[in-house]
Amino acid sequence: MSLFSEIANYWVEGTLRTFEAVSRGFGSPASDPPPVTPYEVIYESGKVSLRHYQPAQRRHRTPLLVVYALIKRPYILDLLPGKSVVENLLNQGFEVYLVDWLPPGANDTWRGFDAYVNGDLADAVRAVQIKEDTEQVTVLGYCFGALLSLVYTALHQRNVKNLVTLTLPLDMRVRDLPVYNLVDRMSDSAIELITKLYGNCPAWMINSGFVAMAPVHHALDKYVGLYRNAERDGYAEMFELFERWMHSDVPLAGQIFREMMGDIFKRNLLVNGGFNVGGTAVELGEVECPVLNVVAELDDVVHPRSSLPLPDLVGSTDKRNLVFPTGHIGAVVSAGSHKKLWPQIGAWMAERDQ
Amino acid sequence: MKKELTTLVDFASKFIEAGWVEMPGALMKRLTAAGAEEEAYEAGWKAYDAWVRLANEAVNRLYADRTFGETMARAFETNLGLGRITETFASVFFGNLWPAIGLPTATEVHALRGELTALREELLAKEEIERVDRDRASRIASRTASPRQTGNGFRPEVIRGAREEKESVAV
Repeated sequence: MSLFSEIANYWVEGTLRTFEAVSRGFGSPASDPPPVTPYEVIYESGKVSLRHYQPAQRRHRTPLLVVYALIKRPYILDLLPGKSVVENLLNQGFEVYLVDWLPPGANDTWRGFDAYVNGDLADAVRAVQIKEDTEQVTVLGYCFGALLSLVYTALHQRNVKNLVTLTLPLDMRVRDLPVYNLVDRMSDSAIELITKLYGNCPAWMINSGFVAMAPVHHALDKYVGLYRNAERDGYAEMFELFERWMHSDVPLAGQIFREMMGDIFKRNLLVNGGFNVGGTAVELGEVECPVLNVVAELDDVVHPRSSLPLPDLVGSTDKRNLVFPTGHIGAVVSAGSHKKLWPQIGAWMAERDQ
Repeated sequence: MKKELTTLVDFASKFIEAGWVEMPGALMKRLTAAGAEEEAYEAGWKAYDAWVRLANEAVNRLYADRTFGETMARAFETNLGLGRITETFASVFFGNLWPAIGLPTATEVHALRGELTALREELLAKEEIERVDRDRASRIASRTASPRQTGNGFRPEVIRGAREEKESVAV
């Protein structure tokens, strides 16, 4: 009886959490938990807030700019002591800057790749260059942030010393995830309708997309998992934080949503050629700096086969894939990734520091 | 297609094996033999895990189905279209109704809210200025005030401090 009542309790708590998230329109900066690693905001403009994390002992000259995705809040990269990418990189002696995207409002529907890449991201890089008195930075992007980083590097190669892409959604010919079939059937007019009706793509819609990827897990299995692992040290705390993050979706600005769905997802223009940002064609061959493409082998959000072609498309001579047996989010929170993956990423960046 | 079907059949057979063969067996054993609780418990979770894998695979198969995808996409688009029509209708209807019955429109309420926010900010700024001035005055007073008192209770330093305070407010 205890089994069923406990799982039912977890389920009710989870459902209430979802209702609460729906009532506040999902993500809001106010709902971020206290940061694990202290930081200082060194620049804020447009839709970007740039955080600076200082290592206890700096061991590498080139500053590292971490570009987070436009959906959900970035605290997944600094979730708990020992499960924080930021902390891991600081311990390796990197000077870390993190791009925290501010949620778009009703007046930001016009923001597309041009505004985010040539505007906000370029400004953030400039702010790091000024603060560090340096010409180049290493850029590390995660998920959608990896896509923004790649486009930025292709357009502003001279500012980027090294590029690290983590779980990059790139080749959209890959339709190995069944949920893509649903998105595939959506016509261009439906995408237009979403932005006409809501302005930006609402946060609840993005959240629904994530839930639809694993409905059994979200409806039941995660609560059963909590019951089965409740005795494990730190599991309940991690679950709570993770759930909070899962409900932290933020809206996606109307224009970038249209470009993402139409040009990238449906027409695959970044790979096929013909993707324009601010009137300039994005040529992946223009990326000439060292590139490390980190692929999560068990990724069920971005299929590994979608990320793998990157080295074949960039113009760099120093480029490679690093495939690691983890999931999309496991790549940033799992103990295994922190023990084995991030030291490898750090070592790769350190080797290319000079 | 053949591979997908094989996976589904594979998951289904594992679920049948775990849920309908192993679990009842373990439960029977628990009823008849002492100390078989752990075994029954494990068999139960094994059946559950098999069911989750089967359910996930079934959902994936459903998503991959062309008819299902098209139906869902059409329903979604229809829903959006209805939302758009409702929004247009509501804005036309209420846009005319509110002024007719003397109620403010959303734009007017927005403007009023903006004015209120500006007033609040102005008030806060004034309070801040006053607080800074008060702090400065008290600093000056504490610097100039001394316990020295004349016979009639007159304290020249304190008064000088207060005068300075007034000047600083005017500045």
